[in-house]
Amino acid sequence: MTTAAEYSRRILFIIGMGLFFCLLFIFMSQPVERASAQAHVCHALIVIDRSNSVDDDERRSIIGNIQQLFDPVNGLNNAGVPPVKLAFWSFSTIPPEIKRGESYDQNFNFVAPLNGFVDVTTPINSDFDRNLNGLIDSTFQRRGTSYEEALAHYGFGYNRAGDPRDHQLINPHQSVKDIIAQTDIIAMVSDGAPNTPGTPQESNPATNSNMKPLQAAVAAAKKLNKPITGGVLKSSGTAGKNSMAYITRYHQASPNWRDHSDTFEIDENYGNLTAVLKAAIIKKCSEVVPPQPVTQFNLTPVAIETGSGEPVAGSGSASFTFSINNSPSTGTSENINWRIHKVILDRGEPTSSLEFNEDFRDGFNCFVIRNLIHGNGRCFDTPEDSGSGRFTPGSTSIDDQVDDAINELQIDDGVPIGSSVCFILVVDKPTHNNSPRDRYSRAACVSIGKRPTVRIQGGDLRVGRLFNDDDATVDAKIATSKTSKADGRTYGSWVEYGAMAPGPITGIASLSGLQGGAANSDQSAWSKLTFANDPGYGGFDDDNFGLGTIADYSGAIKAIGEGYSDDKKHDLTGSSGELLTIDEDTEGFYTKTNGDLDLGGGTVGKSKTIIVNAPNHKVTITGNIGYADEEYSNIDEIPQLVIIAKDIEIEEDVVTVDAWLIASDSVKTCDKDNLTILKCRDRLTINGPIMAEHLSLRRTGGSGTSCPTPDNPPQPNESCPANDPAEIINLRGDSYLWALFAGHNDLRAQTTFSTELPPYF
Amino acid sequence: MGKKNKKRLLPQIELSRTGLIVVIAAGVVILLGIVLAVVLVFLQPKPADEKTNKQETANEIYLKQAKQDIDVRDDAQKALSRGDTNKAEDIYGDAIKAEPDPVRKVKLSIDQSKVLYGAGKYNEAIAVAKHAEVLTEDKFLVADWLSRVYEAREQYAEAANYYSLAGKWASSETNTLGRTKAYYDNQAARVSALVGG
Repeated sequence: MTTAAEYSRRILFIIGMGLFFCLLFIFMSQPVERASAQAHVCHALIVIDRSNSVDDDERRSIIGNIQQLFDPVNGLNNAGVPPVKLAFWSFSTIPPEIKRGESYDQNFNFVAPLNGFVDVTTPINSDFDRNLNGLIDSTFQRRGTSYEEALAHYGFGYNRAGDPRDHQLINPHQSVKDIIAQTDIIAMVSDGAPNTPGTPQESNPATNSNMKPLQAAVAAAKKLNKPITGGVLKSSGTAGKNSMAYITRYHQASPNWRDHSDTFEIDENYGNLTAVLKAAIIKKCSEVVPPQPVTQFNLTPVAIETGSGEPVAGSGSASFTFSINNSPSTGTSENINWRIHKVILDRGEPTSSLEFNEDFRDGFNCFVIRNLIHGNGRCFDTPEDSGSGRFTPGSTSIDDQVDDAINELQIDDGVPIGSSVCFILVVDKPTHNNSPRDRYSRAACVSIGKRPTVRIQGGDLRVGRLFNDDDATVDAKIATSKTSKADGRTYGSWVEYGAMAPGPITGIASLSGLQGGAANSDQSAWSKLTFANDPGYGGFDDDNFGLGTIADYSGAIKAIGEGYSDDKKHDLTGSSGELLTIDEDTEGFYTKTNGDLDLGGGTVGKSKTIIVNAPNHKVTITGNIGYADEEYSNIDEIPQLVIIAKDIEIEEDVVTVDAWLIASDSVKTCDKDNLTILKCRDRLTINGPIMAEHLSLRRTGGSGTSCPTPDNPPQPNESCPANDPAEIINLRGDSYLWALFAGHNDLRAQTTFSTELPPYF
Repeated sequence: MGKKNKKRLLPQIELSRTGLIVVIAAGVVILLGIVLAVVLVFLQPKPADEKTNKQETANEIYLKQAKQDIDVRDDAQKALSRGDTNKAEDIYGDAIKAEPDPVRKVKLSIDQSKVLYGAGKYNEAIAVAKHAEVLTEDKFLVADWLSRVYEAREQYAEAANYYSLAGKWASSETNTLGRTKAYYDNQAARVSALVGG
């Protein structure tokens, strides 16, 4: 006899089992991926004819063409809105052994080979590819052409008592069922009109011939209830075309076979199948699948050069950073592609044309870029780097994806001096709309420059001394540049003897330390005669008086001139810019007080002394000036030119000046401004002392490419572009001798002692 | 009770030597005839079957090669998805090296190019495909692929060149797509118009 406890246990057990099965049912009945109307993806099912009339060559063509739907350009990747997924199955006709009233193996799949829905990616999905190649496999029956089977009627199976033609939906083949559940559109591919079921005679609704296959197909289509588009071979003629149209209009009470709006024609051997199938799928998907809610975004690519903005020289580097900005009021972008293009502008071509007034330009390409820079440069079509990503509102750096060689661009002699190297970041789809495309950022550019050098020979370089009549303090220092080249050596300015300054001394070498370049870039390696005070080089004194004052050379020399006979004293009273020419007979004391003076080139003759005195005005040297190249047997035969002025300027074309240059304000070695390597590029050699408040070294020549044998540094006289200075300032012995004996005709120099000194290198 | 009489099932046959020889000879003749009939009827190849067998052989080869290609592709994609680009390169390198047929080498190279393209490595994809150009004189497959890659990358001048090259080689046996020279020439003209923005 059953007790109450036992009843309770049984009831609880039943309830528990019931709950279990309910949960199991709920879990098992989760639907497959919902129709794309919810997911905004169009699921396109391609239905392929594998009837006997499609030979193996045509099958290979069909396979190859459908494979190309997964390729760039031809494919459905990003082809449009909405995105597409593809599945396929194939059809011929039912096997003859399936007779009315008989059952068949319900595992048999009439529409194999087939494959479920896959994303359209490059390369093609492997399973899809594997099954697609099954069209070649002759184990899949090749018989007549049944559109009824194409529309998977027989894929649904039937039971023993049923008739395949009863349209009874029973025990559907699972793979077919899954595909059907997701399909949004059907795209049929056939070589002609159907000819089964019924007599193997081609259908043609135009002539109402053999309508049985079409009527059976319409019945199947109504069961599927999916939009259909379809194509037939052109060679199938109007029968094929009309039949396919008939099926696409299945939903009409009397299908209008004249309406070919969803029918496409296929070339012989299926040569155009990719194109027509792609177009048909896009068209039908656009009609069927509701527009995807678009997440709006607006991307701006940004490229920035993060260096000092100074030109990069030698083997320096330039830093760039890249980011993509998405408007704050938008959403996360879809996956977009970016790329970085390099542009090299030729010397002289400004970068301003690539630094857009707006932050970007749309629809550009390298051809447009080349036009913007007037053909003066190169835009490299092949991007330096590329990538993709989705970008949230705000700024997103992509530097972690960019090649380090772009973020830190190494400059070498391969890029000509004066060129500019620019990078432009491009996003291919900057907004949620299909256009604009290819948004180009403002270019981030760096100029390739060089650091010209000066070579001072025959004496020291001392800065910070005052003229004897000057009581102003001067913040005096020596600052020059050095350049490390690809040959591993460092090049820069140097003085043959010592360097002294009350302020810092940076860059310049003493004791010819950078002659031929130095293997060590550290200043301590080439500053043997550079005065040093704690903490570094220079710092001779807290003020300028420690270095003393410049001797009153100008006063002494003017006194010499004042002592000349009247025929050797000349007052230049012409207008400002008056020209004083020099030839071998020119000598004397020339004074210009009413304006600037131009000093023409020429040769100062043997025994001639020319003193040009233009206090408070500028003297411009307009031509080469040299001393007569002759044998000199007496000191008083040494010619000399002394220029005393407020400012002394040397024109661009002048390359040699043999003279003393004494300027109460400035000496400029070139008269041009806004210097480029095309201006003031000839080397200037000044043979004589220079005394000035400001020495402006403006020549741009020299400092060229690395020495030709990097592991074999050049000899002093060997040509090496990197070693070439822009200016040479040479204090020769003739200046000493002339200065010592000027005005003292009774003196002579006599060698009293000589010794050999060790050489220095 | 007496013994039951057993009935002989078969009559006793007595043969002379000559008769025995005749019977044996007849048996041999009959046996030979059967064998000959079997050979003639069942074992001789028929012309219709001969053609079918050749096609099946070609199809089997096609399917076998397709399977091999897909397996290589799968392995390479798995390596790339792990970030192991060297392994992916080795997989294709080994497959291409082991393949004696130059056309198959090209197909494998194009497959490798597609794998790289799919991974966003566009420059590498182009480099691999261009390397395949020298594997065989027939340029169709490489030109067909590179033309589309260059067009997708908006390098229209190169794309036009390769479309033209594909058209030049359109009669190649490797063109199983059914595309004509006219098709490729049209593509070349189309992208040529895009050069220059």
